Amino acid sequence: MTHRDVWDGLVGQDKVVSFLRKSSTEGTTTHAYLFVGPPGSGKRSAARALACALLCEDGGCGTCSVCTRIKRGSYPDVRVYEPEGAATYMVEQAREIIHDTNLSPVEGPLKIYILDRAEAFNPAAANALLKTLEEPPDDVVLILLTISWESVLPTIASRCQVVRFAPVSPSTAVALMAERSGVGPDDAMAALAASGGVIPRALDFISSPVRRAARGRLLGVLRDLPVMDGRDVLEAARELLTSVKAPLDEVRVRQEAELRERVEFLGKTAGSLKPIEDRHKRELSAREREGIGELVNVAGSWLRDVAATAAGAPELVANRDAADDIAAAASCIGDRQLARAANAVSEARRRISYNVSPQLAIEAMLFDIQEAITCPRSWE
Amino acid sequence: MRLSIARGELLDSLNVVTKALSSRTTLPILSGILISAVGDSVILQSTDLEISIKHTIGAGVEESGSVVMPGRLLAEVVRSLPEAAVHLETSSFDQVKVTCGTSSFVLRSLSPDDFPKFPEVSPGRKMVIPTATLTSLVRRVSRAVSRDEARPILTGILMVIEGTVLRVVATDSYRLAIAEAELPEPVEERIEVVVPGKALEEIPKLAGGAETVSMGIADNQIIFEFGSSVYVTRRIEGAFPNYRQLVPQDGETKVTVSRADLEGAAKRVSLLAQHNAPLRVKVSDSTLTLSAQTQDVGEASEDLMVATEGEPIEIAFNHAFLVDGLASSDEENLAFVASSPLKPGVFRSTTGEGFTYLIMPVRP
Repeated sequence: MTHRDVWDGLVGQDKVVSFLRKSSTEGTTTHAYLFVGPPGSGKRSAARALACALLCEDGGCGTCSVCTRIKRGSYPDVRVYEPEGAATYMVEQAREIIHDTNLSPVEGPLKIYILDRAEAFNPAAANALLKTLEEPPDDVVLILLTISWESVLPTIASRCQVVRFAPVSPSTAVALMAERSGVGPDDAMAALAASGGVIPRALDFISSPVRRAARGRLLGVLRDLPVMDGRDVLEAARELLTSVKAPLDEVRVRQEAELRERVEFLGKTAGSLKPIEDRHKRELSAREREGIGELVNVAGSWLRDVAATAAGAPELVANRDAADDIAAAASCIGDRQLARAANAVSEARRRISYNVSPQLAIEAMLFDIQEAITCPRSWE
Repeated sequence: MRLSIARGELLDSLNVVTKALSSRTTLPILSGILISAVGDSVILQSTDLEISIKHTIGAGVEESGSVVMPGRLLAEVVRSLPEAAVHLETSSFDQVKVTCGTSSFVLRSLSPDDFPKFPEVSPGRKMVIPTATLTSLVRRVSRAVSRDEARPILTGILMVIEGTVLRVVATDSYRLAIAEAELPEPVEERIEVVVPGKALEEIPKLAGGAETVSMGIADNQIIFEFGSSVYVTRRIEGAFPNYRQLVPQDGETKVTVSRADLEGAAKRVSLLAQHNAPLRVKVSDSTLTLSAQTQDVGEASEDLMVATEGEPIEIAFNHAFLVDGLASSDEENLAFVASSPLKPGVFRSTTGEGFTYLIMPVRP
């Protein structure tokens, strides 16, 4: 690799890169890919890079007009979709994709569709798409992205060539974050822990003071949990929920600005505000879920930190700013209690994915953790 | 950018290009019109990524440049202005000042660099079609175009050009319409192309003023040029069903009937063909009887005197499809050919109009 090209931006995925590079230069690409990899492993960048490699005349130089427009997202034959429903793809989206696949491309030789979060296909939307996914027109490449193969509907997964991405090691991720926005390693670790390891989301997290405050509040609650009574726990859960909703104001402000801009640009008569408002509503509830998810991630990483410290590996602690509290907790909580507390966290994650009210899920999680770490005897 | 233009001309061309404005919410730029001032003319352009319309008008350009302006808002502003010269001027990087007489507006604009232009394609093959011919051809088949995205190829109209014959075909798999016309000039190569039905139906509306439409075929797009407008649509990919083998050449029963009489009768009888009840057609001796019956509602029937050849027959159709077919034609008389209650019935023009409408039977 003497010359620089679009694949250079992919860190730590040598296997994937050499596979995709080879199939794009040899013309052996297939019509549907499923990129499977943990958050932050570069699936999105890889999908764009593959699009560049297939559409650019030099096989993905990264500098020509085609490549730059693909990266900017303004190339007409590369479309990126993500779920527009609160948690799932909508059937209309699937129909839109199908309709477009049957038209000839606007500019290039191929049409490429990147479908983010393929696990968010519900059966209805997936069924609409199945036929296209199996036998799209010759000039179509569909790239589906997902965090785990198991979470994608089998009907979808079985129709795609699976490309597995290796997890990016925390040190690489921290270095990458330092390179991109100059954050210190401690902040970067904490942000990665809260965002589940997704680098762009972690960067987002760092730039939002309200979201950082919500994390600080939860760390405080976890520290004080053994001495809190039931009322305190409920109070704390309510507060946490409020602090999760606070960042939503940032979103709301941005949405209002967008809406205002649209009104200025289109005039009130355009009648096209309704779909934007609907999209905003869905975005808000998706962001609220993300905020709750962050809380659960923080709780999970705190417990992991406690376990690491107790096991004599304090250098693995992700929440360095709370290292003292973590060390104190590690000295009095046993392995089994920690395991039970960790179960409470995964249970909370599962409940939230089943649409249990977030407040209820967080309350239950805090109570379970409290019970786990304060009553060792009830377990033995 | 600074230019002046007559309000009427600007409004006319805005009315043309607003046809391609997108309602898609994800890309606000698609609700804009790209206005470029070059030399002594102004080019307006719009696209929804499926079709693209470009319209050129003469204007007094003082300073060339380009800008993307909100399409519908601009059209409304211009419509409300008095008949006088309209001045457009970019006042800052994202604002355009519109003045006319004593009224003045400042509108937001977007960057022309982000506007997704359709590539300038030079069509490999080109032909000229009189607008009236295209209009009547499209009108005759447009009702048979499928609206169901499940089979995308059927949402298009097949255009076949062989020598001087232009044939258009549309089907939704329940009926099939074919119309033919002669072109003034022969085309050397045989051409077959599937054009999105909705796009092709727009053209007669837009090209009303122009005498001829020039149609160019590129690898990915079809380019229609009329007057000072250019209309580009993406092609539908895939193979159109082989319509020739579907149309039976002959039938046991042949009836010649006045189209208007049959259409009127079919419309009347249809009133009692509710809830998908069939419309029955019975041919015997010199009578054609239409009848329909809806349970718990009632029944209707009507006799028409016709010229018949061959065997008597009783066959049933979906009433809406039958009326559609009859209403699509301008012929005075149509020939109705059928050979069995289980095989499609065919309506054919009796003169050289080249109209064929095939319709699948239903259980009587």
